Amino acid sequence: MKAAYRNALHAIDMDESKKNELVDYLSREAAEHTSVVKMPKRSSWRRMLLRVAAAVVACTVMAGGVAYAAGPYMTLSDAFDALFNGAPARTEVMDSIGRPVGAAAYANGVTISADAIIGDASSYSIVYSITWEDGVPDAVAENVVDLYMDGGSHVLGSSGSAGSAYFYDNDPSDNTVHYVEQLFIDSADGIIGRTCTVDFDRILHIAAESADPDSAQTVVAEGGWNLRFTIDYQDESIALPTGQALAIDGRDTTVTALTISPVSLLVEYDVQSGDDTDALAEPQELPAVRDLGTITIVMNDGSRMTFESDTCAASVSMGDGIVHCKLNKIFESAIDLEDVSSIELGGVSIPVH
Amino acid sequence: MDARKEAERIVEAYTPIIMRIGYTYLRSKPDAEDLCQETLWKLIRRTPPFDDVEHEKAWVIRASINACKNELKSAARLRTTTLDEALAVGSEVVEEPSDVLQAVQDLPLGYREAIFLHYSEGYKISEIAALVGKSESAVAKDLSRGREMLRKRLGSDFQ
Repeated sequence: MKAAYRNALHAIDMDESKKNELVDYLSREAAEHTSVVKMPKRSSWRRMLLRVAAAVVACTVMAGGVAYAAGPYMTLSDAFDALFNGAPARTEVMDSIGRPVGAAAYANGVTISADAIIGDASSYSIVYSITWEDGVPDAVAENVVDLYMDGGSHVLGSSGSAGSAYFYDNDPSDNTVHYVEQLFIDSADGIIGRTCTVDFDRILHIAAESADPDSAQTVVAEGGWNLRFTIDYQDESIALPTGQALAIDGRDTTVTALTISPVSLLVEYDVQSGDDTDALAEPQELPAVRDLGTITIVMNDGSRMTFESDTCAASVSMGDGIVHCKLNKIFESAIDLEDVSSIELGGVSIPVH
Repeated sequence: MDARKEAERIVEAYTPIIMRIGYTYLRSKPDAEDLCQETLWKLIRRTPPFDDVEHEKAWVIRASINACKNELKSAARLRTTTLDEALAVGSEVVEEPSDVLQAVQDLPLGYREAIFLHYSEGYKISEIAALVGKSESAVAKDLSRGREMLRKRLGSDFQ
């Protein structure tokens, strides 16, 4: 029996072609992962934002008598209300591009569930619930904006990611806090239909005045928590005309891709770098090639949504005398693409419809 | 070592055992293939050095087993399957496992785990206990009960 069992089980192996694909994938992961420029994990403006979000959601619950879901997961509507400042509008947008996830993992008295995901072909926002079975520790309740998640999500087949994340507590009376991850995923073929794995190792409290995550940190929950699900929401991105000539750092630059969705903007461009390609790849030079200045989304009613390109998640690759940049901005509130008139960047205006 | 050589090394070294772990725990070859990608991705991004090859192998086995257990606990696996999905799965051509392999696969998870690590991978009870985070007596009990269930099912084929 032993030999028969062993022989039968050892006959189960991966096909050679799939092994070769796996080697290709892992090689890219090992070689390219460092080319992605990470955004700061948490920032002061975000902390302000989440306090406002918590206040608005709490008022909605009290005034309307609406209760949060009794189960372990936030409802889609609650999750996105919190994500986008409690804005009640855009329900139709959320319905099409947001999805419940419903994956959870437990370790050492703490359950982490991925409640909802919203995004497009190159970025997503995931809302997690973190529930302590014996109540939220004081170190968490009193310092929720200074928490830091050790670990994160990853899309299998992608070459890197960049973005931001933050904690918030929309109901201090319960035993749950929430965590939001907003990531640009660098992937040649998009992310819809791909497997997303989440590996959280620890939750840390880092003293606000400490810039170094390794100092003044306290472990408030020990994992690990591992989740896995398929990204399956609808991508409502619109591809816009490209080929516009820009000038970045005095170098000829051409827009090669431009897409806008209800939740993010992605612009890709090639900077002619010639013999300076290797020099431009140095970390101290990256800010220059990714600097598109102010980017503006102009709405039909004349209102303008602006942000600086250095607040975008960025991916930079180089070769053949060209530096290829991708900049992605996840919006602070979802927009209806029917309301967008044009996009202004690098001194050119690009019509959306 | 360059990235490609390192990727080739870990795929060659660990794909077979991760496939066996995935098949044993998740009972599905496609899930086992996903497990290979997930575990080896974690391995290639891991920065702390291993003491030696055995340390690295033990890490791979533990990471694979933990990923399987989390997958089994995940609500994603508890989702109801639509009729179309069920028909699609049913229409696939799947190679039938041998009687012995099927009998082990039908064991409860704890017994299956102990039988797999002992008979397929050759680990001692003390080593299995360290790998799966159980006491040695609990592993010995799982092994004994698993063997007993196999003996009843396989009859004279069990030796």
